Amino acid sequence: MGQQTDEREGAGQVEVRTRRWSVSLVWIVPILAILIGASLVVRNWMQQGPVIAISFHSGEGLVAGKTQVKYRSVVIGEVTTVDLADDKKSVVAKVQLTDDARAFAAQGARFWVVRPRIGMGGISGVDTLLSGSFIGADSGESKVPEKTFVGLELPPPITFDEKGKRFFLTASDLGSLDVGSSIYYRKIPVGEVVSFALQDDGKGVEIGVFVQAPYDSFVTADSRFWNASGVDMQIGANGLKVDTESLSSILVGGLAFGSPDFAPQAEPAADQARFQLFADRDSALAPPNGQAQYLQLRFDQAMRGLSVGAPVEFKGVEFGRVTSIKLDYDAERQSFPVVVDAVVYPQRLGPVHRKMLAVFKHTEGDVDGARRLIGTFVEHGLRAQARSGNLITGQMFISLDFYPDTPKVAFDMAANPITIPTLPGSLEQLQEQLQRVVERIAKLPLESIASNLDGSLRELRASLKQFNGQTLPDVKVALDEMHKTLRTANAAISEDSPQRERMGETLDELERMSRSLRDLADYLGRHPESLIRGRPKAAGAAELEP
Amino acid sequence: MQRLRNVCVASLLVWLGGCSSTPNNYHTLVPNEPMRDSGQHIRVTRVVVPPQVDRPQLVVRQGQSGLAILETEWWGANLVDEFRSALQDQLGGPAGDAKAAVRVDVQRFDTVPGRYASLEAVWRLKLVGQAELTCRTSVQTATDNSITSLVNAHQANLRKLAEAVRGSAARGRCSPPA
Amino acid sequence: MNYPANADQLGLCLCHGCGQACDLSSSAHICTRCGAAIHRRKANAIARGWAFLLAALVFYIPANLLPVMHTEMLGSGSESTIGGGVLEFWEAGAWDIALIIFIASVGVPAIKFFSLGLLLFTVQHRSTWACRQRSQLYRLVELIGYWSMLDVMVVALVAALVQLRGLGTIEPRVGILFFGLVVVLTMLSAMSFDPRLIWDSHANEGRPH
Repeated sequence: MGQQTDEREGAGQVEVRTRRWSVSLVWIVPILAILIGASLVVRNWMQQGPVIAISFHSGEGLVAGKTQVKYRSVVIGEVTTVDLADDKKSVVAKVQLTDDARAFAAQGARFWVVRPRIGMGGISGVDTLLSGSFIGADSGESKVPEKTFVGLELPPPITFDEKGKRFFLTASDLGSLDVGSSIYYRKIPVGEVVSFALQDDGKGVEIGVFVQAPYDSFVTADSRFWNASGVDMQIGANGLKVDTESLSSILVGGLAFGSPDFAPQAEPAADQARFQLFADRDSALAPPNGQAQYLQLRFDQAMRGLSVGAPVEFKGVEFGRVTSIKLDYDAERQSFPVVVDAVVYPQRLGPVHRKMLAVFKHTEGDVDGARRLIGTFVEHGLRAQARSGNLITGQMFISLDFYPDTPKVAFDMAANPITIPTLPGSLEQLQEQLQRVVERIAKLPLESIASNLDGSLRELRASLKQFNGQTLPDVKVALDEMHKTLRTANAAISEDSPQRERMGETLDELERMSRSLRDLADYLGRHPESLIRGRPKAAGAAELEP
Repeated sequence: MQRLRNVCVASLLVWLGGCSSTPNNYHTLVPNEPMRDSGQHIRVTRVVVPPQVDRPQLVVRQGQSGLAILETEWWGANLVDEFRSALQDQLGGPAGDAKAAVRVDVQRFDTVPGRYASLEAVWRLKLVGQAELTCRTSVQTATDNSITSLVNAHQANLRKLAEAVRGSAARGRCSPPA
Repeated sequence: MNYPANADQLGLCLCHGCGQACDLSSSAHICTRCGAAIHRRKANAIARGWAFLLAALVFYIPANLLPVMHTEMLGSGSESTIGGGVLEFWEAGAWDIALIIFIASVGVPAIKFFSLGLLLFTVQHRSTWACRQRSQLYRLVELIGYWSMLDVMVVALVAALVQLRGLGTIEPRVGILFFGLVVVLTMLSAMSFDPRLIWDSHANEGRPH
């Protein structure tokens, strides 16, 4: 490398200045370039966070180099590669996280693919249709670094740091609930179902729910949870009842909770507390049933319209329900009575239960005492009757009441369950009454009535003959006289009678008088001054024009 | 005081003296000559005249729509009664055993001074044993300007009407006046 | 054999402005006819050539690695590098476009790097190998020099035109800046190289004195 500088100087024309140092300033350019390049590299290297591997069931929506990982809509990483796992049963996506997101490469972090999803809570992630799927992330609590993760197939219902409490509900079946079904308190959504699992013994379902703060303080130890899915429609002896929680609960199911009125103000339930899930609001909020009492009733007539679950009432107060309806064969009477089993909760009757216990000095669980009590009642006429509750639906219910004038029935103390004698229902009573009326009609002495009627008719004929022979001519004579009188009167007012003529003349006179009056009034109307001044001078007849 | 009373009485007398009325002239439709007894007796039951002339005073037409009520020219009685009595006189006078009765509805009783007097009537004749006859008669007589000739013209009209009635009664059907 | 004397032996130098052969002994720096400055050879040609070439090489790395364009279509955005763009076009079946972009973005700069490097190296070592071809090479480098700017122009045009808010927007990214710098620096390198230097060694070697 040499420098070709012109050292020959002309005649003072120009001065060539040579540089003092041999390296020209142009080398600054590549040095600057190297510095810039190096800084770029360093900066890029510093921004890079850890690389993690997430496995999913399928790589749908994941594009290497494009799909981003977002937390709270902030990009915290990018998918670098999407490969099949070695065993070809899952897809591994390698994700390069940014340095800020170092905390996500720890145990407990969850990753899921956000795709458009129509789920329980609604349609989510629609914007990913346009912008492409991305991976959602939720950091865990621990700080232990972790490099491989298993991605969730569904987005988790709650993020890790959401405040609230978790509870577990046991139910006989899941109903129409699913992960994401809302929980309502006073019809406000306050939480959602986060998980469900079959119980170990397979006899029920355990549902995990999450209630957000500050509503979780309303879940007390006495709270009752019930399934508020869909439309609750009951057709019973009481008629038709339709109940629903909200539109979304109709579509996607929901739970609701509340405190029954009789529960005292309890403190909020602890996290992870367990509750039972009731089927509907009424059964959830119903006061405790107390001791159950089992009854058996035998009916001799057909029980169409009585269904399992029909209410059992005592004097109109519902306190039990029918559990089963079966047919029995009575060999003695060669009939097929219907055996109805019912369960009653005497405590639901109200204060009467307590007072009865006090009067008869029985304790709560005294079965024999209850038996004796019912025996006494039966003696006084307690009977069970199947009545029609709703004429439209034809549903029947069992009614217990006192009928003092029924025939006495022996009460079997030893029968288990307690058997209460029955009465035919109101429709049957109606039938019996009709039957009685028909019998009464049959008993009527129709022949004697007929013969009496015959005798009366004969007498009537005899009297009529008499009437014709005697009474009638007299009547005829009277009528003739009347006729004559009328004729005379007629003649009096006939056309030519002198009376008529005189009347006509009078009328004529009256007519003339009224005419004169009219003329006078007319004249006065034309010449009122004639009253004082007399008739005016007449218009000369000669001045008349045609 | 004395003078005042005198003056009042005097003015009253003068005023009363001025309250004389012009005397009326009365006319009748019944002609002077009595009717020959033709043996025919038709009773006039009812007469109806147009309300415009149904008054004691004579009513004449003036032009197309005008009427003049002559305050000092009166019929002998109300025109209805006058007409009725005149017609009855023409039809043989009232008789108790009249076999026929006639009811007259006068449609027109126009008096046009200087021109004519016209009479137009619809009359119902009820003969014994026969159906009722309804006929119509329309007669007109020329007059001049004087009242007398007007009344005479009406008299002539009435005579012609009576002739028509008599003729119809005799023939049993409507017949015009001779 | 007798060769005609060359300008160096006679002490002459051609003026850039009017082409007159000026006598260096009389006026070493200014043309007596037109007054333009006379340079026998470009100053510091080799040093400057190398400097600019190295800078261009250094910048060529980020120009290829960093994204040149950011495309947002219907909400989904993606950044593309030059190589990535070429691959995309190739895989999409538009091999002609891919070829063009490849030639313009990779081929031409590579040729320039290689050529200029060769020229500078050979001149520095006073090689007499293939002088004529080297001159032709230099002329080629100068000719194709501008064509790399095609890439920058494409990005600029596309970014200016495709600004359809929601439907699609294209924005240039820093990569294109580096690429532009690469093109500029290689051009500067080519400009600062004096092709007459090729023949200096040839003159000294091939000609008998």
